[in-house]
Amino acid sequence: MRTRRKVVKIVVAATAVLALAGCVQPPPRVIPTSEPSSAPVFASDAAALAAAKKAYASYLAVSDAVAHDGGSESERLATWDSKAQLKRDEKSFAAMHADGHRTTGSSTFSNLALQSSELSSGKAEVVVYVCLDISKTTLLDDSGTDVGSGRPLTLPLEVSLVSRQTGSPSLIIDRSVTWSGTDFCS
Amino acid sequence: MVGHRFLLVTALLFTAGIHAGAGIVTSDPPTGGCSTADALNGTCNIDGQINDGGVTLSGHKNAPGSGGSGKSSGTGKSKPDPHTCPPGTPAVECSWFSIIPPGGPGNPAVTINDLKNFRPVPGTDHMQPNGWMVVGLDTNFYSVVGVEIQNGILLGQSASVRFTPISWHWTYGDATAATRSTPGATWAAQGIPEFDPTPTSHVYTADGTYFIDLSITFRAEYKYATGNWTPVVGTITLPANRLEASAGDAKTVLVNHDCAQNPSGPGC
Repeated sequence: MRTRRKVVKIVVAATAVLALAGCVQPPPRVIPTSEPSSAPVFASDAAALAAAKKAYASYLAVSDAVAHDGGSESERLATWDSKAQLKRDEKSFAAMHADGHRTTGSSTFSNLALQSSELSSGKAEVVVYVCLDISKTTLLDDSGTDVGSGRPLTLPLEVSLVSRQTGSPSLIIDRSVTWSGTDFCS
Repeated sequence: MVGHRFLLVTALLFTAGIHAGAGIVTSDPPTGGCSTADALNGTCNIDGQINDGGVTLSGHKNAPGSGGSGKSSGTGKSKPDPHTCPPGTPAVECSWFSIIPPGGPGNPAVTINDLKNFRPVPGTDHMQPNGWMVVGLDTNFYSVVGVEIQNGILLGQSASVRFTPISWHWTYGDATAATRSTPGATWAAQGIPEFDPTPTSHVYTADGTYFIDLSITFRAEYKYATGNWTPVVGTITLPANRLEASAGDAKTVLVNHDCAQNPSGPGC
């Protein structure tokens, strides 16, 4: 019994000394030597482009639906937007809602072409050129008056899309900006 | 009690040389956001667009203060103003400045080749980790470059030229390359952990020493005196500094003393 008490005292003392000396280390941090790799989700640029086309068409359809409702419930775009893009879309639709505006008709697009792609991993990144055409839409105020006659009806855009998640062949919109170079919509 | 205090340090044993280029300025988004909602609202910013064949101000060769023709014509597209355009006016005619077809009498379009006295300062290329990468993990590349305004003589008159970076082309030295529409940013600036993918990151798949080259494409605009900024036809692409870095696997080594006590130790 006495011997056991002595052993406990020694262990406690040793632990204290080690702690004071900074020798008691936290659990080791595991540094991975390789990322959990996943195979590329697109076998070719053509496959990526087809996915981009599908995603953009879906995004436009939902955008039109939100615009028809005067910009309300813009969170519906969460299915087709990255977090950053959703934030931007929500802000734009909030402005539409505050103005009391809404749209009728449908947006369309054409000339969708690949600018660049990063398909080497399971997280694809695709940048496309696209002409957005809103000529078949009308912007109305709360009295039903057309207030959108000064809008550019076709817009050359550069749209970035990314995999919804690693390994997913489904793309979402990550960024949409006007193309500052040659207008490929004219 | 303890003769030596040993620290277990994870170090990546690489050597790398970074050849710094000219320093610069602040970063700036290449172009304005334009989502479908913006387009439907009529709030997309298409200022500074360079069109096929180019456009130019009808008064761009006038002396400062003499004014332009003030009349719209031609097929180019400029910034529309939905608040001042009369209802029914086609967007292409609803412009803030008058435009005429390039090459018209007395109104040649200003092209990038006319900017002999102007050159943007090349951007600088950076990487994280600095000078090395881990095989299989994302290496974050980003550039420091911004909008720059220079003053000088353009076609015989004092003018200002504004260069805006719009495109970044990285060749990674492993037979791959990518063109990005963003300069990228540090992991910290993006608020994500190290080695997470970024819009400008790249994954190396094999050990070795790599040379990474970046070229940045700028668009240009010019103005005389207090006139409007007018797009210059064409773009200019300039190389940034070259990075040299080594890729390998992470290794754990036992180091005698920490770096403060033993600055020449491995990994310090």
